[in-house]
Amino acid sequence: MALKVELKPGERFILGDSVITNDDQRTKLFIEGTVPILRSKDIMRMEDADTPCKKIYLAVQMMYLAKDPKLHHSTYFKLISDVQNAAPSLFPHIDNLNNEILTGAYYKGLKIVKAMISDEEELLNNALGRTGI
Amino acid sequence: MTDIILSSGVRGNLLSLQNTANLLERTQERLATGLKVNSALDDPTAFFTSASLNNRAADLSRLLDSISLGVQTLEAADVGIKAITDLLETAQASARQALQAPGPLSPAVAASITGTGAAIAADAAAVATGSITNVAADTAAVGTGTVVTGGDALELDVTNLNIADGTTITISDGTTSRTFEFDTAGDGVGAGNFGIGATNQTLAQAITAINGELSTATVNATFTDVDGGGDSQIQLQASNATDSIQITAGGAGSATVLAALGLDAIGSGPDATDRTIAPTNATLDGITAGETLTFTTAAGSSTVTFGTGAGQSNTRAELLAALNGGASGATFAFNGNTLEATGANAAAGDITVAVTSGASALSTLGFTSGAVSTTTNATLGAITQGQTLTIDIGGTTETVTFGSGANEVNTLAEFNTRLAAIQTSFGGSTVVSADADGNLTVTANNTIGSVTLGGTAPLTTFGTNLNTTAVAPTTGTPVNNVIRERAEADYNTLLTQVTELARDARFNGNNLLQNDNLTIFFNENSTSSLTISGVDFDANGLGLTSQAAGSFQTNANIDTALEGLEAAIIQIRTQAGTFGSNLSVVETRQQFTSSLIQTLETGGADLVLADINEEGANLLALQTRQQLSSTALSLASQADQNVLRLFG
Repeated sequence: MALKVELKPGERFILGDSVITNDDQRTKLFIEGTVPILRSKDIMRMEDADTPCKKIYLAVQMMYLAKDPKLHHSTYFKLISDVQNAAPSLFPHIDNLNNEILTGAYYKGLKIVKAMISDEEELLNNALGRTGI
Repeated sequence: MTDIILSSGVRGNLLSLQNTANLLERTQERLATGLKVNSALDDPTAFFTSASLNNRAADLSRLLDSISLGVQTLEAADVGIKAITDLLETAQASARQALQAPGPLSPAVAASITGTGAAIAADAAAVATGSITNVAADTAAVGTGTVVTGGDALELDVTNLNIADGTTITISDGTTSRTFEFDTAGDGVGAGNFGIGATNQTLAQAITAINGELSTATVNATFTDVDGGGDSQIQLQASNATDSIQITAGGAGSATVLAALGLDAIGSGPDATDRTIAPTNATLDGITAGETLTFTTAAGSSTVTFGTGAGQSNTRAELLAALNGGASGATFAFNGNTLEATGANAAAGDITVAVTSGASALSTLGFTSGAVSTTTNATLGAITQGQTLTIDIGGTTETVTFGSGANEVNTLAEFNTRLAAIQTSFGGSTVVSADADGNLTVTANNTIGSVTLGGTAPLTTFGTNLNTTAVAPTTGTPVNNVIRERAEADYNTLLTQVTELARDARFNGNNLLQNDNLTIFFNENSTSSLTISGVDFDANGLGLTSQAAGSFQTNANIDTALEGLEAAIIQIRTQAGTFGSNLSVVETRQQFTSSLIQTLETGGADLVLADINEEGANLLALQTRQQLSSTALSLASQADQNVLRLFG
């Protein structure tokens, strides 16, 4: 089943180890195959990864995009164990994330990390005294 | 019972004390176990989640074991493949070596002719033959005497003859003798003697009696009354031509008895009592006394000296006795009236005739001084003198000339000598020889020259099949090259080893090199798995068959084998690549799973330590720490090499 990608003018996405930039027309693309695809809204850049969970997102993203995911495993686990030691309540997310990675469903894993990030944000805000209501 | 009324302050203290006691108990429990959550009652959610996490970790541990087994199976297949590749490369080297060695060689066979059916008789011994056939036979010894009898009564008037009683005469032929005694007194004779001369015995009667007794005694002599009247002449004669007869007198009247009989001067002898008559030969008498005739061979010489003296020969018998007793080894005999000297055998060689002085012996017996009589061969002698046999090997010709001159061939022995000389002159491994029947064999000494026979002598003498057609060298049956045979045997051995190796590449009952498939599960409910297909890597599966005997002698067969090996090696390398990538997938999963187990176990433990505020504070601290931590740095460097760089 093909993945449908709608691109606004100038929008970019990653396909395998290339970056594809749309011209100044809206474009619809149908992409099939096993090569990793990431739309720009799903891409976390190095500069943006300033919290532990965001760093986890970055690690999972790199595992998804890499030819040899094994390279990133040690980094990933280090990050996971740091977060786990710091905030054990995030563990269910971590558990699900690990499952997805184990079965090779990296994209679903990324979604889980997104949920983790929002939970983390809550905890951080709590600690900083910014309760937000 | 009085009620103890508690004041609010006391009640408050009591409550606080109870709380403290509870707290103390709880703290003690926590200190003892190290866990905040010790039972479901403390924090049910955390407790049960932790339990499930630990269970999950245990399940994954078991899964990890089976993944490890899968990895080992793949590694066993990988080791097998490496070893098979080595074996195939060795087989390639073996086949290439065979290709460089030469193919079967057909050795050249030298040209050769062999005669069959020759029938050259053996050489005959040399015969020296006198050319004058006039050596008459010996005449028997004879001696004639005159008996003075007186009167015509023919009486043996012994009284008148003055022969005393007891006088004896002994007649001997050299072998046997008989003694006769005059019994004039009539008183008997000595033992063994024969009596004669009794009263009234006439001469004739006496002679008859004596002859009869001589015959009985096997003395080869007889008396004869020659003229039968008047003065009788009696003759003493040998019966054969080889005996000398001796007559000796003995007894009382020995000195005169032979004279009385007129036999005192016959033949020869020392005196009147002892006379010997000998055979004679007229021819030999004509030879000057003292001359010698010598026949010499390689073995020695036989000599005869002519004359009547002792040791000299005057009769045929004496001549033959003297020559046959010599050292030449030749046999002497008269063929009719011709003297022949025959060599001991064909190998004894020539007979040379010589004399010491004078020529009468030679001319009498018909020999020529220095005459050489050679051994002969009837067949070769029949070949016309001067005819030739030519032997041509590779263009060089040697000739055998038949005849009786120097360097010519007249006997089988000379023929063999000449052939041996020809063989030596050609040299090398040339064969030029004849067998005992004269069959000629000629073999060239190398494989280049043809052999041709020719010449004017009839070739069929040396083999009824021989003719003048040239015989060229031939080629023998091809001989397989040894290096190629060995390479072929090595190739077959290596294929056997490949098959055995493929069969041995099993682990835990699974052999990926013998068509077994391997399925590895990556999660507990078996929804995620990887199936690796096995292949058939024994010799047949790789399309390699063992070589039939002698197949490597042909280049085409070796080329086919090399192509097969090349294809097999490519097939193996491709498969090795597939197994390799399968292995890396499995190892990735394996590593991830084992790390996951650790995480679960940690998580299970950590869960019971949940604290929101603490967590928030921890996260903040972590965030700060990560800005400088090595993990963040490695993440940054990995991101840098990623496609994110492009996106940035």
